[in-house]
Amino acid sequence: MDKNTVKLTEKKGKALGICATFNPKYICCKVQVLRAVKNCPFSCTYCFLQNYLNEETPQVVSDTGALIEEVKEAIKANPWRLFRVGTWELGDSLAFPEADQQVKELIEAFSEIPEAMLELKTKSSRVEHILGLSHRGKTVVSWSLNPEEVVQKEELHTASLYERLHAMQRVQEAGYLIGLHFDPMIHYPDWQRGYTRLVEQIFSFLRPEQIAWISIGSLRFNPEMKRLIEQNFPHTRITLSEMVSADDNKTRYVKPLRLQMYRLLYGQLKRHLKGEPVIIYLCMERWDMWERLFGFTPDSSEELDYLFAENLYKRFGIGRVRPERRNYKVA
Amino acid sequence: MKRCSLKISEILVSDSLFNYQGYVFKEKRPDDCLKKLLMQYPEALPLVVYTDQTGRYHLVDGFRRIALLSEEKQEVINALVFPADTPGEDMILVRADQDWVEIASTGANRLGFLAFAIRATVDREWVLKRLCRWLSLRPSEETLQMAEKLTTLSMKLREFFHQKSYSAKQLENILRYPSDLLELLGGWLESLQVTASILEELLEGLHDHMRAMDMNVSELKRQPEIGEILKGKNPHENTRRLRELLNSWRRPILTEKNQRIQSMVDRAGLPPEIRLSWDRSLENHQVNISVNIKRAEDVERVLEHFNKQKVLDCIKGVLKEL
Repeated sequence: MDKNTVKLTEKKGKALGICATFNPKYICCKVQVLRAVKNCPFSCTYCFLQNYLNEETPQVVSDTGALIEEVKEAIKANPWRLFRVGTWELGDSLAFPEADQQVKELIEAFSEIPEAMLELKTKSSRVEHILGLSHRGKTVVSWSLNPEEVVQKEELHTASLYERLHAMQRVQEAGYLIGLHFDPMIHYPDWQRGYTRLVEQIFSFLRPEQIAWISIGSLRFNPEMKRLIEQNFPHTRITLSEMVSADDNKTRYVKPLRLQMYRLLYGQLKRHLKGEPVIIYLCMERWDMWERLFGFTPDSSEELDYLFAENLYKRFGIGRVRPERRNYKVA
Repeated sequence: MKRCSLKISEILVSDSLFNYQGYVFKEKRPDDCLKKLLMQYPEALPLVVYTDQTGRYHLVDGFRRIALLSEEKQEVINALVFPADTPGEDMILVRADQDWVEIASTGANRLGFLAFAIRATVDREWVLKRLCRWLSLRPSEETLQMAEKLTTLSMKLREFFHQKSYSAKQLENILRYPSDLLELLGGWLESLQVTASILEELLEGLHDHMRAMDMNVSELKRQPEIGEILKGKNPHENTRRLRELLNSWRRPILTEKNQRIQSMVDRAGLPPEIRLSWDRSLENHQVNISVNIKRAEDVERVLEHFNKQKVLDCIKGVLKEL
């Protein structure tokens, strides 16, 4: 098995769908995932792909047109809503040079689809190939972020935090909207200082008004992953924090600890956003965590989906029509 | 292969390549029937031996027969002799077929038989591709390493796994822990009452604690709390206490929070008919209240508690904590 040789493949079956981690007991943002890339060149200790993909050879779907057609078909069935479409579910959107052509075609295609926007998510700093493209503000380039000490210990072979921030700045200058994903937050001895510093660093590179959305989540994995993580990465201590198994059969940090981590991060973000109404959401948490952290909770995942559309419409004029709650019943 | 009479003294028994030597556990059977048959029909029950490159005879099948005949001071025995060019794999198959029921009966015996085949120097690829499949084991190098690791453990521990009929899957989970930790826990087994899943839970708890505290097995062994628990006379109670201790070590926040909630509930003074419970993982934000009334005359007395302020405060307090 080779993670460095990328296989170009044709689209097989449905590529657009809901996130693999979706569970109705938890509030989900209902982003649509477009399975355009499988696997990535990095080795994050916590990555669920080590227990998920049967084939380690990375794959990039080369017939981008077929992917775009599928998105357009989905829109035809629900033309009154906004589709957020991410290509990052099973791999890194930007890390493979072999995916550059696909990425260019997707960005250009989404720039002409009023009812949809594209999210490319990465832990790399490969942005050169997208800087000069005509994106018309319809692509969000997102980074998964952690303090540099976590990057070094747990996100092996990825771009350093500084490299990511620098790439983020270039993308911002090219007019793209930016997405920030603090997920998974990792608990480690000096986490408070680490995440406080991380937020400071980000906002020394980034303008709040160009941030499309921010997600917060914490480390979680299937029980069988614990063994794999310890076997594949004997140096890591991420499995040693206080964790419990939850209703979705995932092991997570205990709730009081998660709440403490989220509160610190959220507080720092609010401070730096300076009133900019960026949508900040929790990934795979329940209503009571929302209530405690934000003081409100969406009544369902569909409502959160709608809140995204409303926020993006108001702030950036994204969407063909003003979003209406009734159009967000079924994604 | 030829059939002939051999001197018992010329046959390697304990040093035979095909002696299980504790790798596979077999039932002790009564000898009387076999002894009678051997004396009456010596031709009908030949041994199976394998000739190695130096001409020595290795006993393959007939370990009980040869022992019984030696006891009877017999010097010669009938044997089927396989020549030196016979593949070792075929000799393993002779043993597998003879003892199939016992080999297949437990995970310890399945893995033990794999290790036995490897030790008998048969081709590792053959063990991996053929024997693993026949024994319904995952054909991977990991399985072979697991089998070899099992045989390095003390006989006491291996016997325990066999007697408790642990499956190969359960052993696979258990054997991934360091041998010294396994032996330590093995030494405690007489003071505990464990199923395979509890054993796994204890191993995980101890191993995580050692890693979290940067502690080795000797240091773990010296933990006074553990020593205190193992002094108890009741294995069931010792096991409960050890699990509780490990849980408090691994989950101090949860332990503290649950204790706080429990004391709130205790202070509410609920009658035994009312039970207030919550998800101790704290993941589900809800309080469950169950009322169990057997006699009609108790209804008012029991339900009256729900009008008491301290009960309502308790329920609200628990919800706030969750």
